[in-house]
Amino acid sequence: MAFYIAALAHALLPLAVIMALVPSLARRANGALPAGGVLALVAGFVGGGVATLAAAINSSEIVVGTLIHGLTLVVAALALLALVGLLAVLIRRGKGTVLAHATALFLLAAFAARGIYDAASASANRSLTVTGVVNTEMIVNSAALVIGVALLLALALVGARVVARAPRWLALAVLALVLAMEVVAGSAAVMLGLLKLDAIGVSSGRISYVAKVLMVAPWAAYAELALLLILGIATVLRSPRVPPLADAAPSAERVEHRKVRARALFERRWRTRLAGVAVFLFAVLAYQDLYASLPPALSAAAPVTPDEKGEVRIPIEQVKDGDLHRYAYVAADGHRVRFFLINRYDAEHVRIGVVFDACMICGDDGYIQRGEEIICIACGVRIFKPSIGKPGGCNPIPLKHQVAGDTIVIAKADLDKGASYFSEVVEVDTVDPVNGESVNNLKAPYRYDYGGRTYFFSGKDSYEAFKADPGKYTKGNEARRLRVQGHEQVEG
Amino acid sequence: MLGRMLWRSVLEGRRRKSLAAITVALSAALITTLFSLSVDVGDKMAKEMKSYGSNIRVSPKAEAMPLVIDGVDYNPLKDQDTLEEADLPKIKDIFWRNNIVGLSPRLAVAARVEGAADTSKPAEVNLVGTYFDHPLALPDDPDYRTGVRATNPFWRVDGAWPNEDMAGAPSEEVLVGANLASRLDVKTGDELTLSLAADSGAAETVKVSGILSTGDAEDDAVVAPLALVQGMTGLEGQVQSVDVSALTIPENELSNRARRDTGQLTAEEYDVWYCTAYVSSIAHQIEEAVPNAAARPIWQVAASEGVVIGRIQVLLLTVSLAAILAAAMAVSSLMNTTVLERSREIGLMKALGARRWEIQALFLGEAAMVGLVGGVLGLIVGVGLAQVVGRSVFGTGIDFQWITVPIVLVVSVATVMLGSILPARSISSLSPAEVLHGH
Repeated sequence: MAFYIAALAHALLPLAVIMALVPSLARRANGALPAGGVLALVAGFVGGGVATLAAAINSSEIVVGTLIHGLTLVVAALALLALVGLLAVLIRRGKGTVLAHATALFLLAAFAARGIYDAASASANRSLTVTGVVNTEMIVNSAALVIGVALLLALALVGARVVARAPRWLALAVLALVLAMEVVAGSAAVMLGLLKLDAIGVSSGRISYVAKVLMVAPWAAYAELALLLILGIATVLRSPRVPPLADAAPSAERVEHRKVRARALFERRWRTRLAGVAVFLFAVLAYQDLYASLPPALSAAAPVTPDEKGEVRIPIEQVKDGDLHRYAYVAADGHRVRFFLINRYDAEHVRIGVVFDACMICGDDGYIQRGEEIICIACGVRIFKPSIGKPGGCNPIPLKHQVAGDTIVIAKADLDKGASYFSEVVEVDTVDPVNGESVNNLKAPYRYDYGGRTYFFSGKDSYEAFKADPGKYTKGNEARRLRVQGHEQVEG
Repeated sequence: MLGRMLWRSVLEGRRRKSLAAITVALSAALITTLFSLSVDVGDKMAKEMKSYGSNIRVSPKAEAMPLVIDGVDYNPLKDQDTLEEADLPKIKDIFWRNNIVGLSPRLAVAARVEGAADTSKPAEVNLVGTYFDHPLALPDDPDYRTGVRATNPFWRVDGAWPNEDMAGAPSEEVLVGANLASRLDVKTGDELTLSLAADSGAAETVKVSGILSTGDAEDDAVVAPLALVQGMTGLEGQVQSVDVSALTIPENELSNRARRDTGQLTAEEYDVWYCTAYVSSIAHQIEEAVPNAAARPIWQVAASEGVVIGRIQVLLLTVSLAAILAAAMAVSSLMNTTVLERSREIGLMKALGARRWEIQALFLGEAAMVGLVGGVLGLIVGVGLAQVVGRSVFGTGIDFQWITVPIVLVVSVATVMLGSILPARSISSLSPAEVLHGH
């Protein structure tokens, strides 16, 4: 339920905030939309809907998405320019209302189209329900859509009423800030689309820009809500003061006093409504983003270090209770290799499955235990416990081991072979294979991947020497296994 | 102020208001009944689709129509296509083999039972052959055992499971379904004589090792080791169908599309679907692995009540809409009278400077309360009615769904609001001077 409200809010909140702010741009009293505003909104919604359909039919989501984001970006950037530069002057002189009006309409249409498209694509992989027969889930999810739209509409309308009481320059400044945020976020989205479409070349600077902006972009909705609330607070200062009334005041003064009180009350009620809607949206967004959408966390992994014989020994007594026991070993190049042991049967029939905490299909997201069930986090599939230790399907990749009496013995070399299944890297000191110097794996100036292992070098000389003949320096190091080899049966 | 005025006027015109409330209650009761039925089935279907375990029935592709009379299949076995028992390990050799918890083959035949304490004449029963906990050597697990104890963990046996030891002669121990046992007065340890109903061929003397309760068709059957039934029917190494129990993940959009037609998926979607443990992809892989087999997920609700409700859903919606419209029209005429009766009061409010929406809010607020009262009454009646209808249509009670409460209340209030639109509009056309004069 919260998913749908949050998806709608993330996609359409900029539109709602702009709807609240444009009346002050187009000089409309009481927060009414500029003339033709509703038409612009409808045109935007229809455009967004058509784009969504077109993308679905041609399965050209990237092209259409980039196009829509690009258009919105252009409109927002132009509006921002107009707002910051030319317009400020013109408005003061009482001119430029036509320009301001047109800007407002274009903003409404562009953000409406983008919002609809984004909302549709955010929920494209979700369905309201699994079956066509009316059921609780379907009703709750549809209600969530209705509530989400109602909340955003309320935010826009109530916001416009409150903003109308705020100083005009402040409202325009907030609009400029919102547009600036949208321009930055939009530029990253468009750049990502162009990169995907191969329209512009890939460079590390571009990738880093896109990655950084898109990481913070989801928080824009919170910032915009906060800005609107700040505007609301600013109107408190301009709200009419209710002066104290003397007992012997003449009746004319009493009438005036009552009028002022009524107006102050009226304005306070609108502010309270705005605060209510904004706080509720804020809470739903925060609940969804910070709690409900997070993947389940892995249980802690006990660190293991091999003994002098290069073996990890784990007593069966420790792991035979039927729960998942997770361990982690840090390989020489810093890869953190997680594996887990679990009793596949019951206390009477102890057969320990020894496996890497990674799946050959889903990668290294790992497995969690919920009640009696072992679940792959990435795909949600339940793993049949007695089959743990066998390759295939979404089972964890088996780990070679020996059972020596009442201990499980795992060779360090076998753990190391699985290091490339895992992407998590911790900071360790490694040895330069050429000159034997100690190098930090995260700070090493040169690195080279060979046989599934990463080697780190203290300087360019040793790096070049290694590159010329890697085999010379890596004798005795068996190649690591790749994930596609995870299906191979291991004895044990 | 509005609240205080609303409170005052609620108790006025009680007779008319209760009439309006009863009208709404009638339509609400109807909607509650239809809605409860539909949502009950819909929820059960959704639960089934979202469960993490599913059963798959594997049967021969060209299965002959069963000829079932009184729960006993009289179709001669010779005409039926069968699956090879030797193909069973292939089911545990598919991509998602580790997610297959167990499998149990079935071979059912009509049989005669003699030797029960209570029968003067032999009883015709269904004889089902299956695995209980049977060894099934797999390439990667020679000790694998499977059978109904894995696929149907809710089966309860009063006594002992039949001994299926294949080392010597075929086992001669069977289970008797609970209903059948009470009908024939069979107890654990009794000896029965089984023979085929179709011909008077060889009879087998078997020992009842336990009484089986399943809550399903097996309650009326004799369940025996597969080898025994195969020996009696001469179908050595053949089975009619296989029930497979698998760990799956909930169905979603992709699997729904794949279920309709795998050909429509793009190559990438097909890979994702194939490599995800949907019940449909597991069934697909079983079909690929076992020659001449069709594998279908068993969705019990979807196949029975779901089909009925799915077909008449539009009809239910139309009937509900008609009920809402009828109630709204009745409310509309009642409201009209109220507005006329209170026109002087409205005129006074207008003269005192009340805005139009304030007067309308007064009337609509009153209407909403009437709708709420009617909705609650209708809800109470409708929930009871749904039980009766559910029992007569599906033979089971209907669980109470909390979602009906907000839905019915919202619909009831909306009904009254719909009926109040026209009367409330007529308020604005009232002129204070005229009504206060009494024109």
